Amino acid sequence: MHRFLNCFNKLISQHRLAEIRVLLLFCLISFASCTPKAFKNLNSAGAAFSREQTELFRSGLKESLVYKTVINYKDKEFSSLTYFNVLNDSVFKIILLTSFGNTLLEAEVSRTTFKVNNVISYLNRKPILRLLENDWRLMLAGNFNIALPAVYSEDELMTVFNYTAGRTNNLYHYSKIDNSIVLIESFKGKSRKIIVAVVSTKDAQPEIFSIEHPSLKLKISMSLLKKVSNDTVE
Amino acid sequence: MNPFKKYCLFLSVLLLPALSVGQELKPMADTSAFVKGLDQFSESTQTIQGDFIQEKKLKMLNDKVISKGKLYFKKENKLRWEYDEPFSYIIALNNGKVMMKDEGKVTGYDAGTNKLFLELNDILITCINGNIFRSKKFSFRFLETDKSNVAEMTPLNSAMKNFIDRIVLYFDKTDFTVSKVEMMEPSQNSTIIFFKNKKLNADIPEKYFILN
Repeated sequence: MHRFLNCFNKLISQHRLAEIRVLLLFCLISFASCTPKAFKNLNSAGAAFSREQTELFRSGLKESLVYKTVINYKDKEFSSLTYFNVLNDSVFKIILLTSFGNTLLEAEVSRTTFKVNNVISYLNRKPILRLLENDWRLMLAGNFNIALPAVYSEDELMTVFNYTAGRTNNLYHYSKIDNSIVLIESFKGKSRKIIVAVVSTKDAQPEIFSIEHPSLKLKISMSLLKKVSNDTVE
Repeated sequence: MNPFKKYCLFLSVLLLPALSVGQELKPMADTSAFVKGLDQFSESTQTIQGDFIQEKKLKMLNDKVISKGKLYFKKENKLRWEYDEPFSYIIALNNGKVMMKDEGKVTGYDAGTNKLFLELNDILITCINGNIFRSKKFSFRFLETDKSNVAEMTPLNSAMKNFIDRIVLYFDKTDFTVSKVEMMEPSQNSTIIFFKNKKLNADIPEKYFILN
């Protein structure tokens, strides 16, 4: 009976760990930042800051990352694939395909440019392309920013860094336990516009994460399928 | 030119023709025999099932994406694409209705963003039903290799030209089944689908084409 309980507890604790992480993330998303304190008078992250603390995608990526991408917009759902890779650590390439493999969008994002190389007419609209650019800029801010962020808050579990641009404040929640970003929030004034929630990471890259635009009722869920193989069929 | 480079050049000149034997495309010698053979194949075929391997080449990333799965066809116009990799999902076409099952959830298929896929299904169905060369959507060029009869299709419609540059169908010379499809997009990305382990006229339950 005791052994059974031990096994049961172990099983429960493994499941719990995952559940607790999701629950904590939910709490963070729901409550922690509902009423953000003023973004003013924050101290700059000092000499102890390393770039990795605000990088969602770690540098040194050699192979493309492939994400199953589910887009929920209002009551509609649409599955697709996102390919992501880096060129010279400064230009990131993003390709969006349908699940069958038709190319929907091919774009390159760098610190100063967002270049759309190919897009189907269906998506070739300024607000859609601007939204995509903003989302990727938010996620890649740690990779692009040269300036030091400010520290919004810090405790023994988490440091929250802040990058400011005009009225926009972007918070990067860096977990000291996981050594990775678990949450990104973008505020315009006091209103939270974009939430990037990272559920898990694999080989230091985000494995399961979502990008949510609450005001647009838009949620994009990404789950890492694998790194692209170099297998050939023939 | 140093001796090693000369040697490599000589070797490549010598070996290239040998490597390309059987692969080389040349104009089809007897087009009417091919069309007649395809008609006969169509009359005698009720179902086809087999495996497929799909290779997507992305020019911008210089990457290849491999998908694998099973394909089922039943006359007149029922198709089921069952993907196992890179993730498991099913697309079923049943008398013009397209449904998709992903992680147990059944949804309608977004035809607007999947024109190439729907066009491919239309082509495969008309290939098996023997109507493909009556299509007014494409111009055709008939070619062959040692193993395959090849139909190169170029879209005539300008709307279709936006998402398809060219489609090349490879028909196995032994049984007239489609063994390979190449689809070239204007973006210079391409998709190649290989069909393998084909079974003709095996019983395929009706439920394969109904997703719920």
